Amino acid sequence: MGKKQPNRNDLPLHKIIMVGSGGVGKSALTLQYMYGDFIEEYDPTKADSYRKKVVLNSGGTQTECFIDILDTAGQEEYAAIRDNYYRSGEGFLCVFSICEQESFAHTQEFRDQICRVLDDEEVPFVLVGNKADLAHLRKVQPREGEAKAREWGCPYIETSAKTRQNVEEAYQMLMSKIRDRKEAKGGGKSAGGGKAKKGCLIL
Amino acid sequence: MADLETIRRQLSNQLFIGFGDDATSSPTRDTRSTTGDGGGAFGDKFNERLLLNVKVSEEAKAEEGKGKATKGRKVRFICVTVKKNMKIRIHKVKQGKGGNFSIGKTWSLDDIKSIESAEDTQVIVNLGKTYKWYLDDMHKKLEFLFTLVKLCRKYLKRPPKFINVDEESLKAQMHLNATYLSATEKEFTATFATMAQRPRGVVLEEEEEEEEVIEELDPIPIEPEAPSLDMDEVLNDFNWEASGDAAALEARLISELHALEAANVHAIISSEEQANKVVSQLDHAIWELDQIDEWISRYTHLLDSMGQDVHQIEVRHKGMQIASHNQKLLLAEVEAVLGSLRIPAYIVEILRTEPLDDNEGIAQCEEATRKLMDVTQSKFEEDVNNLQAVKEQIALLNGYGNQFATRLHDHLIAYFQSQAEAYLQDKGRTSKKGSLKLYGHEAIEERLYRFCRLLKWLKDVDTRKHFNLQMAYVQEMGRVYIRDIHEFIEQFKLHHMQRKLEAEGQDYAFSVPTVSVSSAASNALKSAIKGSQNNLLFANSPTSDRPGPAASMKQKLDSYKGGGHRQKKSRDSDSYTDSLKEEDSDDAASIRSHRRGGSESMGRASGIMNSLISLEVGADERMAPDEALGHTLSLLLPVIVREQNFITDLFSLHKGARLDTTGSSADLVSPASEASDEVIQNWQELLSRPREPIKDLKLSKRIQELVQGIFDDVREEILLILDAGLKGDQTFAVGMMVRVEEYTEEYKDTCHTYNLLLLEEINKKLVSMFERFLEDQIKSIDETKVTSKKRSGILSFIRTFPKFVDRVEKCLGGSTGPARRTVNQAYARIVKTMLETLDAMAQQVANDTKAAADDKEHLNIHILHVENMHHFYSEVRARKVPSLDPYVKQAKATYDVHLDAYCKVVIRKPLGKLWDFFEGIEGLLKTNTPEEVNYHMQFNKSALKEVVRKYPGKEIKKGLESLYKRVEKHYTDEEGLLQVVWRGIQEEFTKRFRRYGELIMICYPETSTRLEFTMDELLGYFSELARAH
Repeated sequence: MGKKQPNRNDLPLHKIIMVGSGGVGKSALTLQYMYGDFIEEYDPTKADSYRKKVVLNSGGTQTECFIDILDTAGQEEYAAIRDNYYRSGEGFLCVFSICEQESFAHTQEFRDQICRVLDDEEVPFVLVGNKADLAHLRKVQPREGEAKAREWGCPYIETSAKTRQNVEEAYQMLMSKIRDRKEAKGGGKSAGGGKAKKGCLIL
Repeated sequence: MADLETIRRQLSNQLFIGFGDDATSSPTRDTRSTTGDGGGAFGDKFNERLLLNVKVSEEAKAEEGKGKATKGRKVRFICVTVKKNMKIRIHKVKQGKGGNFSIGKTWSLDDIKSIESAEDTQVIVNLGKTYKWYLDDMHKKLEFLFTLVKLCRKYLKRPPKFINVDEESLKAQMHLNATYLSATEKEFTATFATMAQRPRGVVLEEEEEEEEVIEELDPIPIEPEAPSLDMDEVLNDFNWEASGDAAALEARLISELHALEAANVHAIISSEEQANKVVSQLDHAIWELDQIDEWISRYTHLLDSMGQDVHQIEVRHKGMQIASHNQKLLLAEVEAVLGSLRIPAYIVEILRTEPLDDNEGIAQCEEATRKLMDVTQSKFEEDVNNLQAVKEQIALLNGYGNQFATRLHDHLIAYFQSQAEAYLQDKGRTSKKGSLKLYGHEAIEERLYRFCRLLKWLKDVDTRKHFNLQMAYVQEMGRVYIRDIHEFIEQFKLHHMQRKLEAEGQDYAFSVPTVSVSSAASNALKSAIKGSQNNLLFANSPTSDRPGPAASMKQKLDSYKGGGHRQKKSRDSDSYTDSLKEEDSDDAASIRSHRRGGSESMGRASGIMNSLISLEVGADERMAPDEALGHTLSLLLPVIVREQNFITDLFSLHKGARLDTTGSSADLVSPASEASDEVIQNWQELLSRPREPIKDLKLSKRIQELVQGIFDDVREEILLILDAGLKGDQTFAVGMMVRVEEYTEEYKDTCHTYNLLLLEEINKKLVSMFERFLEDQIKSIDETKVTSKKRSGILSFIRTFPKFVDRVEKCLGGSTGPARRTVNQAYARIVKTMLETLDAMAQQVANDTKAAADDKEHLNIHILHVENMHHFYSEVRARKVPSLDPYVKQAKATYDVHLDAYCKVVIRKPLGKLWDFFEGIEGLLKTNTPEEVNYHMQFNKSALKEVVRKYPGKEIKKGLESLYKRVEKHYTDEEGLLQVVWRGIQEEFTKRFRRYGELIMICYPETSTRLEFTMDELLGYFSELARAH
């Protein structure tokens, strides 16, 4: 694509997929992260794709990279269709609403499906309890989320797409996991890269 | 005994005269007379009654020894008395040589400390001091002791010490002399009874006994109680001695009586004759008095008439006095009037010849004109003004005034010329290469300031000349300013403003100038934009890691304002700040720095970057065109403000009652003589400050006219900057508009209408230039459909637009004014053109691709729209420009529509005949019932069976595989849309599949024919596909 292309190719591209039940705020999180907007009205997403150049902070170093976010539909009719874009993901933000027990329960299905499709238990994964601003409507306690995350060996973070609380952090966390994994793979066949994260604890 | 009684009487008479002489005393007296011891005479003097008196002998000097004891004994009388207030006192009385008694010492009863009965007749009494008294015999001693003891017991609350004294034995011994005792007892009783009757609290004199007692030598005769006592006196008068001859006395009396009678008769006889005489004399006197009375009344009459005459004369005299006084006053008044209209010759001389070149001369002239003014302005009554003398005098004075006015006028015209000429000749004032200097006119201001008062006077005296001077000033100063500003701008254009180099980085423009585009530079530009995000003063800098000249300019401004806190590393910063100092008053600078507060921090951040605009201006130090315009205006506008204020002050173009909060007014103009440097400095400081609008329309028009006269040519020069600045990159027009807007805001509420006029004109020009630029852009976009070979992927203008927005927004800064509106309109036009062009190109694609059999379904139209609209949507949305929101939504909608359409079209191929068949059924169902479908030849059961059989799962899978490859080719990776599109396809496909199943159920209820593949199989194909890629 002309002169711009080399520029883009130089930088790493991390592909993130948003998963979770319908209405838990996947699109809201994405838009907040991408544009700093919060949209109040609910319009079920089919699927949307976003790309942006970001600065990835980790361990004091800052590196530029592209983030590609595939925002998926929560109410997918056929789980099989989901499988297909899971394959293109390098990392997953699994979102549920802390105000809705059911959405929390569903995260297990998403997790299982992703692991099955990718045949990979150590895929970069972050469990996100969204709508943290609606504390008075809370149904899922933080320890439940933490317990689940511990079980999966992934971090748990509570966010609010409305107040932008922890939004940046959630994406940064996932991206650095993706990057670490890529580096581990690139640096040899050491499969331990993923294993090492087993013990990762949550905030 | 008898001796004692005598003494007692004497004592009573001489010293103690009992109680009062009033009625109450009579019983006492009776009592006394019965007792026979006759308490003595009563008098006013002593008021004490003697209770007891004893004769004692006292040792003269206690210390003298026992041998001589008897020899030194003195005879004294101790008297115990009671006063009316029942106070009991003890007196020691001695007898003088003539037998007179005098009191030696007096004690109160309670002074007695102790009483001792010593041997023989001795009694020792302690009265503060110890007294040894020897009484005549034992009896006396007893009596004395007894009385004292009794009194002490009875009248003292605390009796004294009794030594060797026994009351009982005393009493028993006293019985030996019963009579005395009873008498004494009786007397006590009587005395105290009397005293009890008397009112208590009557205080009687107690002192002064001694001397008076001594004077009373003779026994005082008893008060006369009967006429016999009168007789005694009469007899005494006649020197009759009781022992004399009574007959002699009688004879003498009778002769006296005869003599008296004779005299009486004689008096009666002689008085009758004299009476007659007196009567006649009285009559005569009365007559004479009448006469006198008559005379007096006549004189009175005469005097009255005379008084009237005098009064008349007086009145007449007074009238004449008033008249003459008035005349005198009138004379004085007229003289005063004429005097007040006279001015000293030296003033006339000053007005005529005093040179106007130095302060002293000007001060003299001011003084002279002030006096002349005072005189001519003096207010007289109408009548006085009509006096011939007054008229002539005033005419004369006005003549002087006019002469001087002409002289002043000519002088000033010449002066203006010479000043202007001097400035023009002054080579030091020409802008040199590298020094951006717009020289001020302080020197002229200072010199002309001295004429302020004279000019004010001239304004009152000769408005036409005053106006002429204004015109002359405008003309002369105009020459100077145009020269100065022209050179300034030339220098600016030559050495300080970026030229052309912008062209290389203009990837935000749709129409790229002929200059080749280097990607390195464009990168640099982008980082520069990022680096100076907060910086309104966007600058294009080839080195990306610093804020560019704009910021370093600010830096210099800071260091200038900081007054040298900051170390100025640069060799030339001084000359630069000097130029600022010349032009920017503190006020103006602070206003600007305040307004651009946001950019100051940037400036500070670049502390190390201290290189500058000066002699050798590096290319990267040159100012961006909008910065240049801002800088020019920042220097030029205050100069105009200052000049305007100066004109206003110099020519006193103030409205009398102008509400002046800016602190400068006509009052500030003080006489040249008093114009100290400080006053001038203050005034000059205030000159730079913009002033409030002038309410008076005529005045404000006049001032504007003058300012315009001076600066009119300047306008053209500034417009040249615009041309020069925009030659390279016309987007700077936006930045310039913002500058102009800022200044317009700054001067909006001031009296500096010319500034506003100038800014408006600049703005007009900018808008039209921007408009032209916009036309170019739109034309360029429009031409893309002809010039561009590319028919797929993201179109160049769609790619460019976000950058264009970035660029323009950067230039705009936070502006919400007219520049924003202009830009919004520009956005609208560009977006509209882009969408139109996109449509047109899509249409072209459709037309062009007749040859490409692949694109029967106009797929490329959809692909083009989906990709471009997605790009537009996500890029523009990220910019968050509110005015672009509607276009963002529009793009999103277009994207959705085309994505949907694409999916629907693209799935036809893998479905092949199935799709045709069932679409046919769907068509039929619109007009027929499901049952009827069966009866159509091509849709009967066998047709269904045939079609279904043709598409087993394997076939479908193959079709999907090739579809996936096709779709993959359609979409560039750039937008990451493949997954999104593929998902849409899957959804659409499964929807179809279900629908076909339904249709079979509805239209062919009896048949057992089903599609050759199940949903699970279908989803399986998809999964396999996904896994494969």
